Amino acid sequence: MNAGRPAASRLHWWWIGGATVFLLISIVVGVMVGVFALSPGDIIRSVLSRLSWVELSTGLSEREEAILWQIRMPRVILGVLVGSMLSSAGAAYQGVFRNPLADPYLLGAGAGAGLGATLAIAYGPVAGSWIIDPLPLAAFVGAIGGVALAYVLGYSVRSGRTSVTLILAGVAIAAFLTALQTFVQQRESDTLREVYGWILGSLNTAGWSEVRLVLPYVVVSLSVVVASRRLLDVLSVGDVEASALGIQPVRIRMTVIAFATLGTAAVVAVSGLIGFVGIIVPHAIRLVTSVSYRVIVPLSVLFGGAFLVLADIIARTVLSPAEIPIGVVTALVGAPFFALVLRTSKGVVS
Amino acid sequence: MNAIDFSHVSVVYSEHPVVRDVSFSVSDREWVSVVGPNGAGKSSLLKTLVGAVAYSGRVDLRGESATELRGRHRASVVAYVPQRSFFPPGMTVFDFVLLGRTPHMGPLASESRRDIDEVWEALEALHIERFASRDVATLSGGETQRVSLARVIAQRAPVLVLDEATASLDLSAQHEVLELIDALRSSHGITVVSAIHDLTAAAQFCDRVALLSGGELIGFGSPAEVLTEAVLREILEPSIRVIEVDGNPVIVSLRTQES
Amino acid sequence: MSKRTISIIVAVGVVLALGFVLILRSTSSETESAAPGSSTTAPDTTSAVAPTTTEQTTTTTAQTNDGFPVTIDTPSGPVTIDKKPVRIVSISPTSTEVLFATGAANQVVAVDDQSNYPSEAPTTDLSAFTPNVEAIAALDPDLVFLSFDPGDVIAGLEAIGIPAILHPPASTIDDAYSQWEQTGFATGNLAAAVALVSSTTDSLRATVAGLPDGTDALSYYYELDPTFFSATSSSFIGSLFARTGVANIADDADPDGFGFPQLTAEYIIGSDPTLIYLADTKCCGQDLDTVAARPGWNVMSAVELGNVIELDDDIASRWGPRITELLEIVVASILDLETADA
Repeated sequence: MNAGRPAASRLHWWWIGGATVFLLISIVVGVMVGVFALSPGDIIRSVLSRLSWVELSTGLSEREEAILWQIRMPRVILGVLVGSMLSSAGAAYQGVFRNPLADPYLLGAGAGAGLGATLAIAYGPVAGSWIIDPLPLAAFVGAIGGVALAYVLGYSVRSGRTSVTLILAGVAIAAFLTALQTFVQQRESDTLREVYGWILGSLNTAGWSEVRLVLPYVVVSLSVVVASRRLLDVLSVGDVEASALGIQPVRIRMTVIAFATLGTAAVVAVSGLIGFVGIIVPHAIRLVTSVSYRVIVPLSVLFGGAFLVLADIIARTVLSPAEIPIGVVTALVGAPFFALVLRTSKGVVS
Repeated sequence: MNAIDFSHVSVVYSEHPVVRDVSFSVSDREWVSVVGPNGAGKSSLLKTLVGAVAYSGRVDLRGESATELRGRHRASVVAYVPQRSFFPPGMTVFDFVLLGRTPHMGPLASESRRDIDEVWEALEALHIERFASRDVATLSGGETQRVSLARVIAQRAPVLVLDEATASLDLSAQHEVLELIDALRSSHGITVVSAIHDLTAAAQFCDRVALLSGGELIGFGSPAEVLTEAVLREILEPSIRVIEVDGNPVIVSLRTQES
Repeated sequence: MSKRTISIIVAVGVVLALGFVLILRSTSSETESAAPGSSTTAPDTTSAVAPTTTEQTTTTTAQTNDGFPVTIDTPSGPVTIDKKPVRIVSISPTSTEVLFATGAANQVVAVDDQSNYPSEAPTTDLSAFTPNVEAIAALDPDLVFLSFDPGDVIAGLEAIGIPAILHPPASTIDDAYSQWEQTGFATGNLAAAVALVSSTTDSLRATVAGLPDGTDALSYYYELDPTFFSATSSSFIGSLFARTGVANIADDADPDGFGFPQLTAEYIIGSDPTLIYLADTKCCGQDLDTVAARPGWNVMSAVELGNVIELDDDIASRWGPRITELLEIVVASILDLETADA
């Protein structure tokens, strides 16, 4: 009965399927590629022996096993989590603010995390003297605190609780926190390289403990953001019409921002301020597929993870055995890729 | 049971009253227009129906207090079309009409087969199936009003609130849209409450009109009863003439002749 | 605003931000790479210092005043010192060490907050990283030493008639020697400076002479910070280590001789260096335990056998006379190497 009735902007199974395959391929490549050539056969045997708890002779030395399981695997998995989280949080922010230029750091999460990290590096106890590493904790608290401040400021404005006042509050808070961060950094310029390296982002020191740390946050955050994807479409007609359609824009905006920020804060805490992912990935998906968040959000989860894994492969292999900051790669690769998408996309409207 | 009962409704914006103690009722399947000069409080009165303003007094929608109807439940009773809907650039007509299904879906649910069928039925009811994949931002004025109405149909709400929905259209497009609304009213059994600027159009399409001035209800009844030359000259301007054509009042403003 | 416009703005923004990032990076790498220009402008040896200045000293008949005035070449241009300085301010921890090792101790009136050696150095709260012209001028110095010049501090000092010498991080040991000799020359302690260079040269030579053959079969990883920035043999510290003959695993990561690459964890573990030197013990609290706790690092033989040497960040990051101590520690660590057989 639906012949000739294209159900527009639905999440076609081949998009999801294609994106999933793309993600899996990038994970496999990420595990296979590295400074040291481990034979694919050995890697597969090693994986099988772990998965099935059957002792297989893997042919890998103890050190090669450590490289595979302690270095590459957690790094690739963390790349997936960070990429998925930043991309879908970017999509969520774009949705709640009805602004394709929004990114997960818009409301001060990035500036807050940067300030937290700088304070931890400059004044915090040296690593190892605490049970918890102070740097990720401070970055996490800073990110949440930055957004909370923006929210309180934005909604204390008398003229109304609109998304515009919230963005303005976020811009003000971000500028303020960045100024504080710069001030601290200049006062303690011996920390400059460490702060700067953190801000550019890296997965270089990633291990399973980082994966375990962020996994629960990312799972919860992604679940809420993905589940809200249709509501983001409803928000796109504006608050008055959206509430006439039966939803509560203010409450939805707050919920989505809260959970997107939670996940963003967690991944920023372990990987630094990796930029461009949160804006480029959802926007490229929007240009190629649809403006509907029903499509953009789930695809951002899959393509975001794949994009960051691929960017990280470049970061650790191009100048191998030296490392390039992954934030530089996401920009270097992301910008031309984005330009390409921009040029080839059809149906751009005014 | 009345579709809508306004009872001693007042709306105050920052200590400035814009609607004062208004009471009237709208019967089921009736079309009532709220008319009056700019700033008479038409839009504010309509907004009480969709929870977009705070008010005192009582507003009942099919016997239930409008303040107690919340969220999706209210949206399944009353649909709202603003003067100018926002059409998100890039969104397809299909997706826009699908938004009308929001009150019928769980907060986190996706659209079901039934929702999709409802959207197609709504598109067909307004003869815009062929636009389904068009970008809403590329439509003409008349087309966008059809799309808005399709969303209302998909919403399946028995009460339709139109806030100056045709004000930006040219005369023929306005006429066409009003005809459509009237047709939908009979085919879908909808009660319509509209704010209309054009008094002649209101007189032709509506069963009854509610005339507001300065926030107060100064007349309620059939167009011929309410839209009299004496009243309109008092609240609008002295040069107004009311001419009767085929039993309907035609309201015009004539240039004052110096004599 | 149209979607295309927005998209173009995004693309332009990305490119601008990218340019910004690259600019930041190149700026930071300049400060890290020990200003290679300094080695070309600064003379290599004592004899090279003297020629640039003899003309001045002879023409000004300065014998009455301990050989002053003198003019020396620095990376920021020629600097003339009219008479033997007695109110020296050092905004460089390395210069402080050199001044005290060349007999200028009683000429120094103030040193910066990072100058923690020797202990008798008159430490103040002057910032070594953001030196302030007014704060320095308030001390009424007749000569100022700096290791870098953010915000044109030297130009500011010159404008108010205070000579300032820029001694940026040395990129070679000869580079360091020439800075020491310049310091001696500028402060009227040339003989002591020449003696220091010669004793240091002898000490370094003697220290490595104790090493057995075959050190080239060994390798080391030198850690600058816990994100695996390292120093290669083309850096100052690396050139010092290179005298032991032990191979530096970071050299492969630095084809351009930039000196300070960031290594991947995988490469460090896979290279399995014999020795690990930590130069991030003070800054970042690293030690054998924290290194062993890193994912995958416990399988490295250096970690298993305990061949992880915790260096003093300060000694390891300066190009002063204590490089002899540093080399002794390094050589001792090679001689005392724990092996799997032992």
